[in-house]
Amino acid sequence: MNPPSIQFHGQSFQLLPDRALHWPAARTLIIADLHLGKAHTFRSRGLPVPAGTTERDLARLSALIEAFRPERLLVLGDLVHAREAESTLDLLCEWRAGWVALEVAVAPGNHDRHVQAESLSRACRLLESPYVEAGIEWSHHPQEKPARPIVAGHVHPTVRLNDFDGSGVRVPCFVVDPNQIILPSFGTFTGGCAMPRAEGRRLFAAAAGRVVETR
Amino acid sequence: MSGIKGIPGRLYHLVGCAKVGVRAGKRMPTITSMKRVEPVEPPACFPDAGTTLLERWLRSTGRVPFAFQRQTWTRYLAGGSGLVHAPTGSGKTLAVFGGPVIERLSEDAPIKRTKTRNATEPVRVLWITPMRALATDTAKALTAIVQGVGLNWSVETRTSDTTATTRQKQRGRLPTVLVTTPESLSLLISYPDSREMLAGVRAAIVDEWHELLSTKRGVQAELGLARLRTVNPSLRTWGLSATLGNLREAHDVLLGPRQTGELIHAELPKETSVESMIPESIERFAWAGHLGIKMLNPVIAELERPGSSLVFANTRSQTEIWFRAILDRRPEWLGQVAIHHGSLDRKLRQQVEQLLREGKLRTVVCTSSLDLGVDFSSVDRVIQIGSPKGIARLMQRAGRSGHRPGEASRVICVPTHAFELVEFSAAREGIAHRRVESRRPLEKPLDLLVQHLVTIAAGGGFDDEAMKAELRTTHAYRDLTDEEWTWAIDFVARGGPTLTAYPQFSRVVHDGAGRWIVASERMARMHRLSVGTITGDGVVGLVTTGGKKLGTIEESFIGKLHPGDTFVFAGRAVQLVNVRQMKATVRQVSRRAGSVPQWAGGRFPMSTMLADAVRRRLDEARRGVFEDEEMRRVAPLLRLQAAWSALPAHRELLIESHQTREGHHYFLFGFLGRLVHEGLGALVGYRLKRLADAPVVATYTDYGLELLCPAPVTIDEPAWRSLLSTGRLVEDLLACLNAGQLARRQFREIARVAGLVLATSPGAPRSNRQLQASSELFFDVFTDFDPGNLLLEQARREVLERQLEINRLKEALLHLENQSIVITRPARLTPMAFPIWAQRIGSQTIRVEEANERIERMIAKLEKAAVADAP
Repeated sequence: MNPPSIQFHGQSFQLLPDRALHWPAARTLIIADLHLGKAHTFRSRGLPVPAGTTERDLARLSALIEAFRPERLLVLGDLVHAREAESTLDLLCEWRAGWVALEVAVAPGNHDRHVQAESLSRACRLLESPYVEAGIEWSHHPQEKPARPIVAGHVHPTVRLNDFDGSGVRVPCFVVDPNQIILPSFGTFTGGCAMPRAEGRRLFAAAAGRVVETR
Repeated sequence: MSGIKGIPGRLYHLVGCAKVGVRAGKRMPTITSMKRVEPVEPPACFPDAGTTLLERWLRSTGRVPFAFQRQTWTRYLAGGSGLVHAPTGSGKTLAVFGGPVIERLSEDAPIKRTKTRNATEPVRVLWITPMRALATDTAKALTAIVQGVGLNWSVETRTSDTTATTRQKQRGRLPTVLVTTPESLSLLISYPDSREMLAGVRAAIVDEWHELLSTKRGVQAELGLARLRTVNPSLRTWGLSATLGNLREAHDVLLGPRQTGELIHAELPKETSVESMIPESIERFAWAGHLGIKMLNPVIAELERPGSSLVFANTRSQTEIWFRAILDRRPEWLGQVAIHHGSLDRKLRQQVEQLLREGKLRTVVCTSSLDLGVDFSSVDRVIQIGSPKGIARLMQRAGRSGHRPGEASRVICVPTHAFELVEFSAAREGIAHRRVESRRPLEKPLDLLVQHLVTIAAGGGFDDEAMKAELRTTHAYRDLTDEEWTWAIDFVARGGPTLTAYPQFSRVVHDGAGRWIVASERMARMHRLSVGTITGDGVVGLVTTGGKKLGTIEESFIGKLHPGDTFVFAGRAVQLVNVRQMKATVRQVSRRAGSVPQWAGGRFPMSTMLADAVRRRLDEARRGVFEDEEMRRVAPLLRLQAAWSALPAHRELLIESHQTREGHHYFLFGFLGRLVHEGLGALVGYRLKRLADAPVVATYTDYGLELLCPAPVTIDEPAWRSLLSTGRLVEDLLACLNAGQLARRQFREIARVAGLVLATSPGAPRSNRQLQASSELFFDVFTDFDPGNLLLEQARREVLERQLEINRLKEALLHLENQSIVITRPARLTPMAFPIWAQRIGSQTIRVEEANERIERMIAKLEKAAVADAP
């Protein structure tokens, strides 16, 4: 039963433990909030983060593509972290070269604004906003009350798992509302934000190599 | 004041315990290591002109110098350094400040009269105080002396409270006497012109050294002093300390390994009387009470008496609760009752301090923010809410009353749960016998070293050999190895020992002439923002919609609130409007607010000494000896404990085994203090986890610890013996350190000091928002990508040294080995077990399980449940 599948407005999606969404019908893999070059940005501003997080994230992405063989990678924003990350785009281009047949499309997020659009388009296709496909809007920002079905990222959702002694621990999660899906952040070096429970909302924890619905 | 003091018609009576006479100067057997250095020969012209002038002024105010003051002056004038041990209110300020004053008065240069700041004499004295709240008071006291003898000196403060304009002015020209904090001194040193600026400092005085001694801020002070000594090799260093178990060591740490000095004791009688407020009906009195609000009526009765009172609570949240409760009961006291704690805005705090000084307040409800201070002679009584946590601390707080030399100090203790009556009784005994705690100095914290290197690099740069030598003049880094030095340089220059691990990173660079300097002005500015954030979690500023500053509040608290939620701050109900850019805007509301903010920190562990004193009291109770009123009043509950389980004898380790829906609980009553129990919890928890092959959560308090395990496991006496054995101690400790989340937790502070986590203080630039990552994230990334990083190493070392200190643990285990084990199986939580059980909610817990392992287990459980639920 792992990874679990969900139905969302006539489409079937798989929730992957590596914090990605698989859309078999469209041969598409969807991720959000990669924050490439975040560690790089920290280092250039004097905060010592070891190198390796960017490489690891790209390797995780390669492994997913290897496993699911999608024709398209859809990134729901915050592909890069900040201005200083522009040079990590070289790494991204290098990585791209290994997957020539793959289409990479990005719905730009707030962090992507820090990088020139031209630099970004070296590595991927930028989608216009709003971008709608299969009756679903694909965007970086989730909405308070979505007018139409939407799949988004941005908030880096997490959920609390409760332990036997009443304590808890936070892990990344998928948020599945009747009209909206929010993806966990794909990047290794990213934090998270606790998601409140709500009527009709389902939270799927993605941790320890599994995706499990929490109640 | 002796005998029983009953107040008829009230719900309580005060136990007028025998007044405990303590002669401050009397050398007690516990402090035998002190030895007095013979006074040196007085200078040839003694009494010199300066001493005569100072004494003449003192006489005109009706005072004569005490012997210890004269002794300190003489030593200072002879070029000496040292530590003055004197209780609060004994004239210690004059003792250490008199020297520099006399020195100037004796100089030939005429004293000019002038009104402008820039015409006052250049900098001479640096006064370091642990708390910024003290700075203003100290400056006032020093100004009084300066003006009294007619010196043309300026006295100013420089703390995080000082405005930017004043700080700018001071950097142009320092005042004659600068009152500052360790952080602000560090900041001052980070400016390139600091060497010339500080060259004139002849005397560095560290106030309340006992407060700084065992903290990183103390090490920061040591580093600042080392820098001052480099700039001026003839610098004289003086410290002031309250009573400590290890005064000689405190003296040695202050002066560093290259200097000798003198330990001077004030020979002043200072009596301390400890009294307890006892609830009338103790049977219905909860064991882990609700912050003692039940004692509100008798406390109010005490506050009704003429004169002013300080009410000490142990946490900032408790001050808010008590302040509100007092005003609810006595609305007409509005304006006469004030609140004071470290999170309140500086202006509010200063107002309160001023009113208190003028005797215009009936009561101030405060935390340790008012533990120290120079001039609150108008305080008539001190009330302590809850456990004093340590014998020295209670003495210190009592010392806030009867602040004038020779006057008795008196403290009234209010229990928040019945067990605290035993603590009060034990603390009184401790004070009477002078069993006062020691505070251990810290050994070379690397995070602080890294911070200091960037500070010096920004402040004009350094070359390797000179800097290494300077560091080794401090006690903390006296044994700094070349390897550690190289690592620290590598860390600030390249991020780590390998070039590949940290590309693009550099905080300091070589200037080409053999000196290390800061990489850029931008880096220097960013560094200054992070200096001085040693304590304190991420905080946000709190302002009203009208723009009035109220103070600061922990980010973690505000993060849980939504706009429209109300809470209590500075004694008033406020409603959250929004949070933007590290600033929370609130509006005042009239309705009663629910929650009281929780501030991190400020929870002192009980000292081992007090815990042991409590244990002795319990052993007496077991033998039917109830020596004072507190013990007699708590007797029924102790009998209940004995009936349900047992009261531990002096050479007995009591273990209660108990079962609930949560699982199997084992309560061990070690009476070794919270710190030791934390270490024991980690060790025994780890061993139990292996034995039971199930997760274990350890919870610890000052009295004992609880091990909770969801799987059934029977442990007989031999099994306990092996769980508590000293065999394989080091191996097991290291294993549980790697497995547990202890290092991860300890890393929080290290990340902050080493400048990994940026200050989220109000006013920090907005561009820093792209640089926010939690220390946990750093810990994980370091662990995965640079496991050899010494900051991780330091986190492990700090855990090993402070929480799991091997020697102390071994001592504790050996101590337990000699005790007989008594295992009881009570049907319900006993009076002694309940407070430990309740503590788990307060998250004083240790998990002996790796984070990944824990998540895996919890996910697996969820999945199992999901499979079972599936149709």
